[in-house]
Parts: sequence; C-alpha cells; structure tokens
Amino acid sequence: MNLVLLLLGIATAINGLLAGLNVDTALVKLPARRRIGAVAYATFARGNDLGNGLLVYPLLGVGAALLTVLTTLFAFLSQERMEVLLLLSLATLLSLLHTGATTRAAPLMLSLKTTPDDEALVSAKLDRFAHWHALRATLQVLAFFLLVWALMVSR
Amino acid sequence: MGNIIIVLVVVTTALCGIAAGASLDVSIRQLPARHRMGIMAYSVYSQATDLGTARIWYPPLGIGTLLLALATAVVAYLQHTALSHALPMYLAAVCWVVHLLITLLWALPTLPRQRQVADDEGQLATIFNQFERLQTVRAALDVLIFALTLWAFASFIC
Repeated sequence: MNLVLLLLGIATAINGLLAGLNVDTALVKLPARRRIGAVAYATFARGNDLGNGLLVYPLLGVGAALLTVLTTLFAFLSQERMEVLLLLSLATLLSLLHTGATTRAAPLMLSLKTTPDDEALVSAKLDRFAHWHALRATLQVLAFFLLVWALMVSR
Repeated sequence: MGNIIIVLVVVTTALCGIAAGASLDVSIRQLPARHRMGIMAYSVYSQATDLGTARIWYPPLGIGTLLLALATAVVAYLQHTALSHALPMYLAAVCWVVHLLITLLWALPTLPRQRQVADDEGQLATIFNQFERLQTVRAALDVLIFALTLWAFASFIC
C-alpha cells in the first residue's frame, strides 16, 4: 500500500466520524431546542458542547481537515491520476469551507457559557448556531463522500 | 456483476462512517454531559431527543446500514467472493446482528423507563448509567463495523 492510499484511508475514516457527529447534532440534538426550550437546551449544550465537546470537536475537526489537506498534498507530489487529484482537491476545498463555517459557529456556542438564561437571547444565538452548523454538516458530509469516491477510483 | 459488491461495500462504508460518528457522539459528548448539568435536566433533554427527534433519524440509519451490511455479505457469499475480500464483510454482518440484538433487547427498552421515574434522581441515574454501559458496547461495535467495512474496501483497492 502506498503512502497516499494509507493517508486517504485514515482521512476517510476520520472525516466519516466527523460527518456522523455533525449530522447527529444537526438532525437529533439541535431540533430538540424547539421541544424543551432554548434555555433548557443551553443548559445541555454547556455540558455537551462546552464539556467533552471542547476536546472532541477540535481534535476531530482539525484532524480531519489536516489529514485531507495532507493527503491531497501527497497525492499531488506523487503525481496521482487527475481523477483522484480532482476529487481530493474538492474534498480539501469543502474541508476548508467546513473550517470556515466552524469559525462562525464556534464563537456562538462558546458565548453560551456566559449568556444569561434569557429565552429570547439564547434562542437567537442557538438559531444562528443551527444555521452555521447546518452548513458545516452539509460540507462535511460532502467532503466525506468525495473521499470515499476518491478511494474507489484510486483502485 | 463484480461491480455490485464494490458499490455495496462503498455505500455500506459511507453509511457505517456516519453511524459510527453519531454513536461516538452519544458516548463521548452527550451522555457524559449529565454529570455537568445534572440528571434531571439531562432527562428533559433525553426525552426530547432519544424519545423524540432521534426516532426519525436513528431507525432509518441503523436499519438501512444493517440491511446494506447483510446484503453485502449475502452478495459476497453468492458470488463466491475470495475470502480475503469477503471475511471483513461477514464479520461486519455478524457485528451488526449482535448490535441489533443489544439494541432491541436491552438498549431500546432502557430509556423510556425514565418517564415513569421522572422525579426520582436516584432511579434516573441508574437508568442512564445502565444505558451508558450498553451504549459503550454499541459505540465500540459501530467503530469496529466501520473499521471492518474500510478493511473490505481496502482489500479491493490494494
């Protein structure tokens, strides 16, 4: 197995886990705020996103983006086929856009730590967070699928 | 015909990745949050998600991935796929069946019990501790299944 293929395999695995984590947050966790109220959800978010999430998300998020960029870089240096290079470049672009969306989403979540338990205030922040999170979840799932596709065509 | 198995492995791998990530999120981020926010508040959240929004997302994801993994193993068997390719698919299918049994027999009936003891912090703690143990096993299986599908995938590439 060559180095590009090994990196691509690891990048796909990490990106897959991050995609699952993102989709779960977008489809299961965040919609719950409509049922229990924004303040109750913020209490959960302070234990979840501002708990172990402070370690897990940066590790997976930064790790996935770095691995994707690194794989693409090595693929270019190894002069892989154009098809693989194109898919990896697109995955890198989406991964970087995901990072960009995270730089907009993360401060909103972090600010909940000090936000008073005011339903309207917290609700507005969570709505904005949900907007950015939906975008980054979509980008991350697409990046993961592109990496799976790249693995398939690298046969 | 040989392409069918590859397409199945690819789609199964993609879905297993999503399932493993979602499962890890429950184990590593969501469940430990109850120690920070308190059991009663966590129970309110859990009833809104595990007994609410999750019912729309988890069954199609879980059943879809299980069926794909089983279909992949059956097609590999019917096509007499070489054991070097088929072994991880067979193992993934077995792991999914074990996962399904744990989910149906133990994990699924556990969380609804919180509705009957909504005001009892001690009993809620027992329920979530029990669920956490089951979820740890399920998350480990989910990650193992994802690794097995990647192994199957890699066996076709290398």
